[in-house]
Amino acid sequence: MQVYLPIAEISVNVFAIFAMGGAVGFLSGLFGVGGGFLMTPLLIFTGIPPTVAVATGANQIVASSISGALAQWKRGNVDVKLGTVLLIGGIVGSFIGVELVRWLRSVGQIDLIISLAYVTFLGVIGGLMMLESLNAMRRSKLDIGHKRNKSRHNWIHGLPFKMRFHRSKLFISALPPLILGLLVGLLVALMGVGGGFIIVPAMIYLLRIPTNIVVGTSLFQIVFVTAIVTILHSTSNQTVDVVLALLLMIGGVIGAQFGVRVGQHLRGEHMRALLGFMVLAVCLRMLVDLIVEPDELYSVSQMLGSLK
Amino acid sequence: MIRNSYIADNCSSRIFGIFLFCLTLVYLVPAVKAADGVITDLTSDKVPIEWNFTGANIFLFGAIEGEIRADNKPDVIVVVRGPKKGLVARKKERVAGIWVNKNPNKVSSVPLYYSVASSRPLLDIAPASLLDSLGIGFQSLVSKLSRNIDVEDSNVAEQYSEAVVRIMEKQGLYKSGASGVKIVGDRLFQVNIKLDANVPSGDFYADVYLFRGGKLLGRRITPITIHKSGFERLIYNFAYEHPFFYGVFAVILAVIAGLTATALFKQD
Repeated sequence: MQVYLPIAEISVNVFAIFAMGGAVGFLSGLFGVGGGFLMTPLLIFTGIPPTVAVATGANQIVASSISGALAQWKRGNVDVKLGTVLLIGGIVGSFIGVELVRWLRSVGQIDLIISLAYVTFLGVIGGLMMLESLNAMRRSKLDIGHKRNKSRHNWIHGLPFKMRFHRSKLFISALPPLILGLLVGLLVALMGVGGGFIIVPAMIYLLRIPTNIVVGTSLFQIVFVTAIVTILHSTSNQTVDVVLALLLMIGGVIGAQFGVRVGQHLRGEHMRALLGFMVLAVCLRMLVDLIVEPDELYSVSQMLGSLK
Repeated sequence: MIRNSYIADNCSSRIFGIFLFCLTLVYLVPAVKAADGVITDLTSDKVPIEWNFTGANIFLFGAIEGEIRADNKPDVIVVVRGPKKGLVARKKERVAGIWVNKNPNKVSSVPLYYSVASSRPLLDIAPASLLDSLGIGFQSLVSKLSRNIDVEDSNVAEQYSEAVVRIMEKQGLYKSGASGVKIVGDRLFQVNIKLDANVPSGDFYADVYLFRGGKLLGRRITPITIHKSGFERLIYNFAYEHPFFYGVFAVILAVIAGLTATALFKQD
């Protein structure tokens, strides 16, 4: 069954989009990741304009993270003060990101920048995942315990504007969470990802926040930032396609349920290696598209400002 | 001359009806000894794009008026032009191993849809200069668009306008068919105007040209309106006319979808 997407302005197969949402949802349930960094490239491969893929991806993440955020809130795992600082940074980052997209669109470079951003991030993340899971597999064979450097102080503690975050049991500068939030806002606006893969490790390893608080607080921030990016992209770029978003949401939530169930029976390291492999495959595909001489050297776009 | 216009309806009985209508005309017209010309009718002159729009076919029927000699049969060319818009064309160049859009050039008033169908190959019907002045065929389109690009070098302008035509053709927005016009008997003709799913909305014009012996005998313009309607139109208008509230709506929709899904899966 074909459906015409009003904003992407192409006709797509409903079941193909469902399946895509379902597959990414399944993976995100399986691996406990957001999945936005797989969803956007897949949408681009199907022929959805990259700007629409990014903005619609942000919209879809609101749906996929709202329940988790609420559950964490009820369990008291959200540090509201820290979350608010992150969010302030996130809002500034979103504004900058959306305006950046708008400008890049007018000069005809947005597709390239989105691809480059993906190749870089997917390459780094996929590579790290592969390395870590390979190391983990080797360690489990040799049965050597993993010891982390437990020093409580790092350069972060030398920064000014210190604030007390009771829930996280922290007394640190407001600058790192502010900048972290800003970075996430930029990524959501430019790439249509939740940014969990940046914010979670940064909060754990850099800010040394307890893991349960990290999960709750980052979800809290992601819901709000993706919501704001959705509204900003709608206002500045008119690139949010609600019909596409709804199809992805339905596929995504169903897929995620199955993913969670299957994930409980699989071993962590193998799964992380698998995810790392997939991330690298998507990265490679995008890289090839950038490097190989295209069949058509010319491209045509509408003049911004007169965009219908 | 009578020109019936009906509401959009693609059923075959309707097509048959038009066929009969034309047939009647054909037998009436020679009796009055009308001047050379054409009369036309469409299966639908309003095409709505709805949520399940995957493209459409519009059948244009017509009859040739005037004297017809067996040794010098007339030819018909049908050109459909869509709304026009200024576009930016860019050429990619390799920068540090990566293909990057460069050299932007504005191309003004580009038709967003253009299809040409004829009863015989275009150059067999009329000389290139005449086709060019009437804007018939991709070649005339290329030379027209070249004049709409503001660059010094005319070769560059032509490369860009050729690229525009090539890209639009690849997207199914420009179409050509040397045998698109079927002449039935001596006087009746029909052409199938194909619209793909990505067809822009707006005012279209079907231009029917009648030629004989390389000369233009008659011409008739029929307007066609392609408009987005129904649910699809609603969403589109909402997004472009109230973008802020559309964004808020998208967020609310996502929140409801997310919460509903969780509630549903909790029960089992």
